[in-house]
Amino acid sequence: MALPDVGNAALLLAFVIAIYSIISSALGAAKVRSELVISGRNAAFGVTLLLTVASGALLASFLARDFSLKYVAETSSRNMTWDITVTSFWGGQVGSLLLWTWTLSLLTAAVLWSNRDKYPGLMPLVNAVLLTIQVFFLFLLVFVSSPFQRLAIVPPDGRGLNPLLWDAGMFIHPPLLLMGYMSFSVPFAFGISALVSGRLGNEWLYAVRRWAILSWGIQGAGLLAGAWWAYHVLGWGGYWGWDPVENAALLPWLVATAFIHSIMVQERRKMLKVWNLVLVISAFALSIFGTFVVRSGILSSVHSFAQSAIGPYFFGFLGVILIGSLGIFFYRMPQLKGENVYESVASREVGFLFNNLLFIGIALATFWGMVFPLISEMARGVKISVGPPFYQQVNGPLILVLTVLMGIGPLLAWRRTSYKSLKMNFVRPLIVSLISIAALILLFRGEVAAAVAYGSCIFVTAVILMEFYRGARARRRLGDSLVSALPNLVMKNRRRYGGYIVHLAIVFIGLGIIGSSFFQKETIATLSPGQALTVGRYSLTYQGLSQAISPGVETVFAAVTISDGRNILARVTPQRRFHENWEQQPTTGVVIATTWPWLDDVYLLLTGWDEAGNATFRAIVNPMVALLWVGAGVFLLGTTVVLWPETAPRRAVAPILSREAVPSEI
Amino acid sequence: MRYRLTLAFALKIAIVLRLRPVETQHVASLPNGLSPRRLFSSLRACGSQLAWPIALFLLLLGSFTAYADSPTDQEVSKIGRELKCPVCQNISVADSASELAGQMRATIKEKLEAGESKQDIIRFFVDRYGEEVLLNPPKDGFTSLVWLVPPVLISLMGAALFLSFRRNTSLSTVAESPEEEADLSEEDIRKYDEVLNKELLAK
Repeated sequence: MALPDVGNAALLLAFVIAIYSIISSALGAAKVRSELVISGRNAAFGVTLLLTVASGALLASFLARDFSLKYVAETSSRNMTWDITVTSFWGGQVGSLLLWTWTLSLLTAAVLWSNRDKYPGLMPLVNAVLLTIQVFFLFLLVFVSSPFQRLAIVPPDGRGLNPLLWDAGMFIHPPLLLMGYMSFSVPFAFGISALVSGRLGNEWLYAVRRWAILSWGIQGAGLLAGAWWAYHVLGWGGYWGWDPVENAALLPWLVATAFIHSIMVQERRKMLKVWNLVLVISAFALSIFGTFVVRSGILSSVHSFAQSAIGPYFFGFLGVILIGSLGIFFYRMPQLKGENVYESVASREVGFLFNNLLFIGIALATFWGMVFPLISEMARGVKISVGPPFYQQVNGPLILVLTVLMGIGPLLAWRRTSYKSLKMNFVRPLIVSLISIAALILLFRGEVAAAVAYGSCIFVTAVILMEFYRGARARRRLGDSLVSALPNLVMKNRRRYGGYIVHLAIVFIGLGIIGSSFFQKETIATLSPGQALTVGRYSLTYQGLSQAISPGVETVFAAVTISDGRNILARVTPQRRFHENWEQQPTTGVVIATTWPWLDDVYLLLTGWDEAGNATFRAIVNPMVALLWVGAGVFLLGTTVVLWPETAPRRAVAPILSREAVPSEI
Repeated sequence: MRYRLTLAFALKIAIVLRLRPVETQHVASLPNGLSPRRLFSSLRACGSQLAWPIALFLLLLGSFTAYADSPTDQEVSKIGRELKCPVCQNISVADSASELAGQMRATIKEKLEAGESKQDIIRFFVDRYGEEVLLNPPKDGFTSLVWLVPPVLISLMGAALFLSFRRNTSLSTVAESPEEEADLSEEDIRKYDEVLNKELLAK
């Protein structure tokens, strides 16, 4: 039996066993029969195994250059090295679907295994919900678009991957985003199980908290990786274009961010029960919506290479999710009453409410801008566009308020905060930031918005650093050394200080975004060899053009030296590559030189040339974008700290025994 | 562009300085003593008298810079960023590498040199390529909906939140007693540290 046959058989078998797993675990939950539950769980592990076999078969077919497979012939070719060939796995749509399904089955197995002795009232239902999602994807893979579809005539070579995707970023960005989308299934499954079983206390939240943060972290990393890729490879000068597909990936992340904050209110104060369920359901629905947008091509996007005919299926699935969730949601509504009241506006829980209001507000505005062209076309038959200027004007102020709130919220006490503590925590940071805003307004010569934005970043940083300082001082009094006080502080209360680290990461990212949105400089010029152009405080001298030909690729280089007027800072070669089979779509080799101490990115593109050796350049100075990537690193660090397993499982028993158990942190 | 920014800035300064109620008698009484409060109010008085000269000066400066140089690539890009490249997939004229976008940038530059305003230039491209070319939807007519709905929804949600406070809240604000507003003593800080220590030890 050939490899593709193995793959096909594995997918079909997985489809059948997944259906069995749903029935068995659902029946087991309904009749309280543990053997059925265990059988359903084992079936889920079986599905994971079969999907692993199928994915292995597809990967092996790629590496064996089996061009009898339609998918392999479409997305790989003989001139691709083996590592790029591996990324062809998700270079097209059926492979992405298989990767999604496979990683979902792996995550399902991890969730089911790690909770095998916990939450007996929830887990069988979680099993059933997760497997239902898998059945939908397996249905697509088996009956609608199989990765193992054969070609009648076997071509000698494949078409190859779109050269834009021949990049190391291809290893990180698409798998992370697919995994992020996929992983929102887990909080959703727990939420639905809580609704179905009527166990609406904090149990499902404890079970899901870590997984929710994991999905949120993966999606966040995927977004940042996408920004990095766009900036370094696509070569249009920016890192975020408010493209519909980018927005679609941002939406579930925004909702998940709201969720991982409001979850704390329910843990501590047993409020927002309804709201939390709305959030998990929306995050998952938005991730399916995102997939639908990417795959259907319904909105004009730079990501149009991912389009296909399976859009309608996702639309149907989205409908089923929404109608089903809402139905059960309203059925349980009477049981979802909060157990506490708000005592003061200056309290942590109200801070979280505003946080949620802003995150959901940004999500709503983004969603609205994204679908508005469709509404315009339907309502009055006129095609319109909603682009970056809209999102900047609408989301910009909201993000600014959110940043300020990020400085205030963590220091508000639960229930109520006294003036005294408000004063102690905020007076100094407030003074520091007001002074810096005034100084910055003078420095920026009237760019008030930028000064205020930087001022809020300074405020948040000051508040967070003060928190670290106070904590470390307390640890010092407990006998820690100067060196160990800070790490001990962080490791003793990972959730709190990990959260602060993530907030710091957001500040770094903010600095990068503010710098490049307000202070970008740009020059476009055609130069003959020896001539120079000026952009910002830099002078770029064009030295000459050269050409290199390697199998499959023809590259044109321009040699350029970058100087700041006195010293040569870098010698660079922006280039343009022409790929065999894809001549109409040359790729750019952009040059990015980060300068010290200004942290300017000199971003240089070769856009054209003529017979005489004159070359046209687009040169951009993007201040502080380097901090964005620093922020990405800090984001990963903070998320890891939060997710790092506890040494002693503090509440291993409590959640099963009692719904009243409350964690002792923050 | 730069001209308009300076204009706005000049007006702002004029308004900030002018709109404050200033009693001029302070200027007269200045030599008698130099308390900080007096100094401040006299500075304000000076400011209000200087406001219009300053504004005028800035206006002049602004108008000079506006006509002194030819349009920079930044100014071209600024307009280009609001226009969608008609042959591309969702990329602005400023960012696209396509030939048409290059021509459109050249057109923008020519028109800026000819003294046309941003609105005129954008209208020119809308007449040619249709409304779809606008990345920044107009704030009037049908497309005002795209701008209006998010703030309205957010305000409604905020109002709903506020109402739910009213319904759920047992007490309202933070202020309790005058003593509470007193300055922080060493004692308070020591208490705070104590609580923090206890929290940390509890882990």
